[in-house]
Amino acid sequence: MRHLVVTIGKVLLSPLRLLLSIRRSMTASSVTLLLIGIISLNIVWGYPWMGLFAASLTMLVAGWVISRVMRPNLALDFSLPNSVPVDQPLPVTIHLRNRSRLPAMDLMVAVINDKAGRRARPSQAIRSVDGRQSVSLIRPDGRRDVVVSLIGSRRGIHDLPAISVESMFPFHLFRSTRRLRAVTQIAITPRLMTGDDDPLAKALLDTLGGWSYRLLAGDALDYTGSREYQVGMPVRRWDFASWARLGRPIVREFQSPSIQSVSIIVDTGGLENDADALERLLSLAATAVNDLSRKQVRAALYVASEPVASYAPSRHPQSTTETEPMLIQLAAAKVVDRDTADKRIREVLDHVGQSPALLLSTRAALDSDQPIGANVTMIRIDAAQPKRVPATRGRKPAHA
Amino acid sequence: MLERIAKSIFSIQPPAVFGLLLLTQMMFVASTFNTWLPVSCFYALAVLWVLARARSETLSADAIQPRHAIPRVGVWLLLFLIVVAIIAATIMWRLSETVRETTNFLFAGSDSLAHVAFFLALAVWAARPRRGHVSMLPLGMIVMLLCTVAGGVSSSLAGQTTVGLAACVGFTIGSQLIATIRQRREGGRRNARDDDASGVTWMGPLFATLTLSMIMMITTAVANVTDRVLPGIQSDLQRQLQVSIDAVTDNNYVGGMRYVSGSRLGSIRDHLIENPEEIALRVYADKAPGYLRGTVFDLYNTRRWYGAGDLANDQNDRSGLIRDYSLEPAGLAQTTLSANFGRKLKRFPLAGGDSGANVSKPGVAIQTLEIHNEPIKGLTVFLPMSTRWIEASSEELLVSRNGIVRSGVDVSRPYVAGVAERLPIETMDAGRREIFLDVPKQIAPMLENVTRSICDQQATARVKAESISRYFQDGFEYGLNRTRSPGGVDPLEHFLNTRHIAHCEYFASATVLMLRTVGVPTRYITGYVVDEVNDEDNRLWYARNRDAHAWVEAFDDASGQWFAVESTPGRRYQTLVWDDASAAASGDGSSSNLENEDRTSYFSEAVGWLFSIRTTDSLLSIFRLAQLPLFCVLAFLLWTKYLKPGASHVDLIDQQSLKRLGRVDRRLRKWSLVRRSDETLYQFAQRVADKAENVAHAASPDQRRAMRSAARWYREYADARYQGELPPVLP
Repeated sequence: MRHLVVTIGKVLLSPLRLLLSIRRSMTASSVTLLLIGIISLNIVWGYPWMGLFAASLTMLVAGWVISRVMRPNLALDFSLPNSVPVDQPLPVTIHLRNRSRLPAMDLMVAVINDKAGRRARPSQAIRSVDGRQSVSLIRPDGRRDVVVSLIGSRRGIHDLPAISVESMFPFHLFRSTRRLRAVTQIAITPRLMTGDDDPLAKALLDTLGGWSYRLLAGDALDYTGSREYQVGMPVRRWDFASWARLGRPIVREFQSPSIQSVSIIVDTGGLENDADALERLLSLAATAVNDLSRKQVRAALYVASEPVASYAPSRHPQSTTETEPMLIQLAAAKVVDRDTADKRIREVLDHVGQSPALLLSTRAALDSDQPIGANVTMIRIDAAQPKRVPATRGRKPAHA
Repeated sequence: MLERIAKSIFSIQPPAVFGLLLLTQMMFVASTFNTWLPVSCFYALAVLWVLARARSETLSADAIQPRHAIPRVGVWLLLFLIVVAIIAATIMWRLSETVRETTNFLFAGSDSLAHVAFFLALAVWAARPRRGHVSMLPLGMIVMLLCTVAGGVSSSLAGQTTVGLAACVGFTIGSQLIATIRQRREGGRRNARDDDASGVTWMGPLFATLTLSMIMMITTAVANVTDRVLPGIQSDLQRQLQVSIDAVTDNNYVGGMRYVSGSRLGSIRDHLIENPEEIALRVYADKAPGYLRGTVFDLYNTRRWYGAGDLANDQNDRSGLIRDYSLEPAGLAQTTLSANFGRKLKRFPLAGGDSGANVSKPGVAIQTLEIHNEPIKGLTVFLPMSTRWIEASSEELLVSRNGIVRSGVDVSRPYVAGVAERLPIETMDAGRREIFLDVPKQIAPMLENVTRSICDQQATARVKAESISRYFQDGFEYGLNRTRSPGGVDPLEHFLNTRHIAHCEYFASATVLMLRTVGVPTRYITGYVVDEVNDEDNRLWYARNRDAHAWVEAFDDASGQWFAVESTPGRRYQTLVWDDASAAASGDGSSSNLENEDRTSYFSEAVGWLFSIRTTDSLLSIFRLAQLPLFCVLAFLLWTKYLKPGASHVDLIDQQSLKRLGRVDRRLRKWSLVRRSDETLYQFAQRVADKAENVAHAASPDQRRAMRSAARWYREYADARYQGELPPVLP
């Protein structure tokens, strides 16, 4: 019964839909033709406009029909990186493949940006920064690439915006538009914090820098042995005694077993009403990840919104330079309630054991009374409005 | 090869294309309004400006372009002022010219606006020679509309089709060019990788050309259909809306711009008053042409006249008697025109008011009238009452039973009426007689009383008509006063009762109805009286708006002929004067001497033919001829692209293999064995073999054998394809 009603509704509304579709597809040329066609209808009063009437009518009707027939039937693929920081331009190559037996002609390809201000909706996460691009022709089963520049304005794992492909064939009389949904996702990772952002950020970065310095400088290096110098070998300390004794340059080799793996734990608990603090927290975490990577320290990241099972340092054999998976983790971070966060962080800290860990949180301490271990450094980010914090009091770490 | 041709055609620079399109418009405007010199001068100036600009841009290509010092608002203001200046200057120039020649505001308006539109388009081109502007499209179409309405193009099917096709070509080229350039400039930057696959550059132009060809063919078809259907629609619409149109044109100056119709009492008076000096008709004749009929009405009802055909909206018994009929040409025209007007006219015999079945044709002497209409005033054809044939630029005429040519004549060319001294004799059947004797019941008693007092004891129609004519001529006064009848009283009743001052419509209408009350079939005629001769050329006669007139035609049963009745005071019916000399000289209107003279010289005939070739004809021929090669190209390319194995991108062996596979697939489909897309050939072969075993009881041995051999074939096919070989054919 419902199906019948829907069908009847569709049939009744079909003329209106057709009219709206024609209206949407009209261009300046077709509007001109429509007006001239209406004027030339005066042939019924004897005005000699039969030829112009026939021409405008034909161009309108045949133009619309041809425009519908030649409507582009395209398949869409993308070439793009896995992640990109917030507000950083992202070049995306759109691969358009013509699935029709007819060529697709006079195309205009554009990324659909939501119109702002129409209703109170969150701003579009990924937008295009450049306009439409023209593609003159894609032959049947042929392929064309279009490069567009996108920019992500909000952290998260987002779908790419839809792509609109307009065909202006024939002769730009009508436009037939296809909206192609992109099923590809991209991670918009947190922005890396810089000292220029605000005084608090500078203070946080100072804290982070101090921690990593102490981490690397404070830990003793274990002597693992001496070996003969080979060209290109990094030299930490020459073994002059052996060199003198053997007559060949000998270097001492050290290893720092305690910093082979550092865990970064991000506490996203209890930030339901403070999106800014969350973003600041994640920015700091991203900065920490980058910083450690630059210092050749292998890191494992845990974000409190993930299940604990996802954290397994042993299952993170990635090299220290691979920051992207961690940045994607940060991109996907969500807020959880405090209790869950506490529980998960405690469990992860148990996994961490005695290896160094950095806990980033907006809280002064975890809610549970159990103290955290000495190997864990906690950096607290003030959840309050950062601009109120005086520059001189920027340092707000709480070392456990 | 194709690619090279396409490249060469489509590499023409946009300014040149715009220039060519505007050149076409310039020729159209100049030829229509005869303003060759000024218009071509302006066009040449624009071309020079564009060339100079292009040269200066080339020279200063490396120099840094200075930014415009004028603010944006200032630029818009400047543009607005330029547009206003162009419009004002053009209108002043054109009105000063046209008002001297004609008082027809419609023509003057068309002239001015067409020039304004053309000059604006020219200015837009001069300002933006490389990219044009979208406003050039409507401006171009307006130019075409106005030039066409001003008589720049024949209203014949060929002329109209040519204009339509030219509009298609110009508009599509302009639209494509302007929109493409605009998109590339405004954000639609051309994709850099788009040129990579330039191996198919021919495909876009090819499809565009074929689409244009298709549009042109459909346009031709639509024009043909419109030409056939339009007269009927016009007739129906005019019938339906006659009342409202007359209401609209009542007290409106628009009435004077068109030819007189006179369906409403008072409309001819309005026509006389508005632009009385404006020339409505020009007639070349040896003698004064006199009364020329334009419209014939049969039935009167409450201050309005109707054609019987106009009211025949139901399928009543009379529809066959009053329906219009079409006429095919009997041959080429034989009359020499006053000047060369291009194509030859064709002769259509008019059968004197009927299809000719019941008309006798006496041997007659003919005089000819060469009539020049003002095309802008309408399509009405004006002919004397006893016209025997008409020579016109037409393929087919639609003629009413009252001898009025309703449509089909190209009035932008002159037409020639062959006029006999008398009308042919005809018999009037009962149906038509009933129409011509119809009197409204409300005023019939009053009319009968008046008529009886005038025509008492008189026997023949002619005498009755003479009496009534004299009654009005002697006892009434002519004037253009507007007299309103009291509410609910028919104006004719009021007229006869009060004898107020009236104009021709009242006298003619009253005469028609009064004669009907005494059994004389009559009809009401409107048209023009052509009796003003040109001072310098005594063969040229004029009819002006003030010469519009209404009169009566009555049927004389005794002689079997219609005759004119003039009852307006101070007027006397005039028609061509006949004497022995004219009768002897003209014969059947065929100027045999001239004809013989022409035939003596093949050279003059060839020159005449050359001069008779019109631009529209040759354009139409080009369009028609161009369509065939275009379709040949389409067929050839489709063949090479999709059908011809060698030229497509599919390997020949692959194609053959697929064909063989499809053949076997179809064969197996009979046994409900359909290869699934997720099934390999070996899996399917196994399924076929299994089926051959499982259906052993239901299938014949031959079927099972065929299935087994098909299964074997699928495996062989898969092996062969794996090795890149052509698989064997299944026996």
